[in-house]
Amino acid sequence: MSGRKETVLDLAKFVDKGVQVKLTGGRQVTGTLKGYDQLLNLVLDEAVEFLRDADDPLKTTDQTRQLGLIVCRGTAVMLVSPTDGTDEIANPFMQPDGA
Amino acid sequence: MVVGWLGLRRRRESAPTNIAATISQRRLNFANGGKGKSKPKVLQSLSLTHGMAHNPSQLLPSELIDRCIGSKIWVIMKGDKELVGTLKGFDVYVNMEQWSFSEWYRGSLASLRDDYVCVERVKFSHSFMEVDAEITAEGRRITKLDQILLNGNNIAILVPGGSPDPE
Repeated sequence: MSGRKETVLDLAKFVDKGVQVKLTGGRQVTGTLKGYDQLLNLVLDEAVEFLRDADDPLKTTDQTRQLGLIVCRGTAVMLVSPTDGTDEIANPFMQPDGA
Repeated sequence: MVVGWLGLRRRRESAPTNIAATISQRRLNFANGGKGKSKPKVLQSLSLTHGMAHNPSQLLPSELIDRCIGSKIWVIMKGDKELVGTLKGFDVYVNMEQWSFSEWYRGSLASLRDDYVCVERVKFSHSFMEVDAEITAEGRRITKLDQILLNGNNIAILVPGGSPDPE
């Protein structure tokens, strides 16, 4: 009952907040976290998936598709981050002209 | 051993009408299907979820999927495959003997090589999903499948009720 149930990531503070989820295989989803379990299965509401470039699956495009209420399988979840206060920036370590 | 398999079989026969009946039927079947073995793992895990004391109001993933039994579900795999079908059941753990499945599993999933799969009835577990084929959509390669058991390893996203809308 004690330490076993403790998870490294306390998702309780993200409940009802917007989260971004990256999944193994490269899929990327944002939505409102509605629930989760110990296995890191997530319930997201109003989920939106970012579609990827057909030629380069490593790139996400601006295209999205609405998924609605979804379950993300815990085994596939790689990253969970709040959308609030998070912003994607250009890679600061990238050399300007590939030199 | 074959215990889990029996449980799944029985659930399929029960052709449930409403969601509440589905869930209670499912639990009943698991209770009966146990054949005197120890407490079925699904029941254990369901009671496990009550241990999430700190936020009882939240929507548990397993509950959501449980409520989805008997209705349409859209399964998005880690790769680019997707399946649509009616969920017949699932288990939270791999509580069936894998070897007793593997032959059938290999046989029925042979046609899964296509990009897109539409199915009519799905039986699904963390380890397996079983589907019945029908219907189509547009623009993509669609394979109709009869009932399949789907291995849960490669599932990324589950969308209850949803079917892919080709714009």
